Amino acid sequence: MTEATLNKLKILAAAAKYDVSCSSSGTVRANKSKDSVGNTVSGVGICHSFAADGRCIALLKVMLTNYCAFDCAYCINRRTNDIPRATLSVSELVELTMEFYRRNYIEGLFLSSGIVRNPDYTMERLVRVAHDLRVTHRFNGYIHLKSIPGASRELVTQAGLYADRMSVNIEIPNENSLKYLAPDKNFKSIYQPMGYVRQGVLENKEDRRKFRSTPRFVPAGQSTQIIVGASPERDRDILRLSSALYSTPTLRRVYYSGYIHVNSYDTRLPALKQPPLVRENRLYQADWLMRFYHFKANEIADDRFPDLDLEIDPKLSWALRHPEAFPIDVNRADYEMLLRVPGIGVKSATLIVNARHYRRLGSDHLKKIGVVMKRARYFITCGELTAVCVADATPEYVRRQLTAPQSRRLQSPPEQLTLDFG
Amino acid sequence: MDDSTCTLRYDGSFDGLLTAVFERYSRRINAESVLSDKADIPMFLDRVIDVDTDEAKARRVWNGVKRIMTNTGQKLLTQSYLSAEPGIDSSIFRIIIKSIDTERTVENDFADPDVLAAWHAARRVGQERHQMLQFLRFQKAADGSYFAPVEPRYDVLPMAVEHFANRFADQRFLIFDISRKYGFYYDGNKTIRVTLEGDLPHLRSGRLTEELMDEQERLFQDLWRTYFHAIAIAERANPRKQRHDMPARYWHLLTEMQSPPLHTIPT
Repeated sequence: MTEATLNKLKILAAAAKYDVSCSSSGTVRANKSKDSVGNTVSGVGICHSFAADGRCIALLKVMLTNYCAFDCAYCINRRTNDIPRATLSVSELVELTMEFYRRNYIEGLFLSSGIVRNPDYTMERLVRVAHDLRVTHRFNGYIHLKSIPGASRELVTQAGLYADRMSVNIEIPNENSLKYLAPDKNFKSIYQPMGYVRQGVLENKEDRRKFRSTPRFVPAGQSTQIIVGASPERDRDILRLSSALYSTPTLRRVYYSGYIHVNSYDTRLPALKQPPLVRENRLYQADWLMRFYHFKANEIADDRFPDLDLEIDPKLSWALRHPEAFPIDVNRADYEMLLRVPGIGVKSATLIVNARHYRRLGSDHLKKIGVVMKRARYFITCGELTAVCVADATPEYVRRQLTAPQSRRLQSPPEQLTLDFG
Repeated sequence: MDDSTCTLRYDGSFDGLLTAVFERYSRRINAESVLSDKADIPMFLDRVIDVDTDEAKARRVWNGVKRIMTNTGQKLLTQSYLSAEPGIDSSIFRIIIKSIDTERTVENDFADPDVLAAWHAARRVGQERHQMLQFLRFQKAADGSYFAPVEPRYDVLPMAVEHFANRFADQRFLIFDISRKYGFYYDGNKTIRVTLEGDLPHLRSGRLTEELMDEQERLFQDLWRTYFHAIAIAERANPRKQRHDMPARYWHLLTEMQSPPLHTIPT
């Protein structure tokens, strides 16, 4: 551990920063022994710090090396880029992880790598890091490993024995676009390792039914990432893909990464001045609607509305397209319907369902419970409310009311709408 | 007893609060609120009756609470109590009374101002505990043990120490609350509550002095700071969100928010 390590860490953290996955959740494992270190907790995981870009730092997110044999147009680490390159040795990385963890800086390790020599060689080194942490150092914290596209089944299965979560990034949501931008990749090389992990998890479930003591395999499931704005796919296509992924048994999270124009010389990519942050945010909101609000992908974006509204959130957007569904009586409507009301979230819907066992709820109660009445009042009744309902006042009126006075920043149309993909 | 309502004064402990509930029923006092003898006495207060804390009575009330309220409800009471916010004890008092009177827990009646107040207070306390798990930072000392200063808004260290003892089961550590002047020491086996006398500079400043520090500690702090700066994407700078998710009141104890030391890094 020397100054040289410091420089390597700088290069390899910067190389890994465009991968947005950060979660340390999805598995609960207490530390059962007095001579091992680490546990994983329930709930949302623990974010230990927040970087200057506001993103959380939960795991030591780093690449083993940023040398890469691939030449993907959107990636900072592509072979043809003239950037500082570095490689951490397995022992350096293991020591860094342990020392950071013991100081409560991190929840664990998120290890990725550029592809050196061939996928199997690279994967094997990732597995070695995980093995050393778990076996030699008795590390019981969180480990997230990348499955390298094209790695063999044996290696992916080995990795799964040590990792809590594994991920392969799809990056580009359409195969033709992917081949165009990343000639070394295709959907098969991405979905194959995903499939290995899925099969591993299902077999493991079967084994654990027979022998309780069988060690768990990738207990926190898989995640993936889609780059937004590097290729011409519409939000509809992205959400369909996410929805299909969520229907598979092990995929827990899809991350969306607003494209940052890192390789500005490559004309295959749109020249963005700013990463499409608003669109990215809308996609996350849509993702939440699918995962926690029981929305289906085609309710959020379909062929008539292939892109998400950048001015208003997707739930409000749905409500304005369906005025006939409102008003909803908060004292009677079931939980599912409450979730559809703009201004009512999972938390307030739960509170409403509980609280109305005791008494009828009025607008005062709702406000105190945490319902955003400014929005919700157009969509609900609670016996005493006099505000106009969206069905009578027209969606256009409600939209104007909710967007107009808010702030000036929404008035200039966001830039990423007008893109020419040539 | 006449009909006018009065206030029960207790010693500020949770047991005292429960004793007040007991006395209200056994002495048939028409009381709707309580007052800790540590709180400021309000200007207008017609009748005050003092209550002597009695562990046995408190236990009887708590057993009654356990019979009526769910685990979540019990946690709501204890956790909101820790917030020590003015008036939260009266809310807890009334929640217990309402539950006993109706023989049914009122913990989910979120339209009730007392329940809502307790719920919000409990959430703030829970959040404070969670932020301790997030933002506590250990420094390694020369003797191989680890030291972490904390300064939580509410007294949540006792709720958090178990997490650290489980996680860092094989390392000795001291977590010290520098504003409340007590801490927990974990010796590799069990945790002990400690109050350290004397004027140790690191218990005041939260930072180990050079001679108490492990020789590699500086290097790892530098590595962490380097990492912290390298992982941020400049194009996405968002200081508002950073400050929202990591409130500025934690910054002075966060390793990564200290400016890098001027000295050269040992090789």
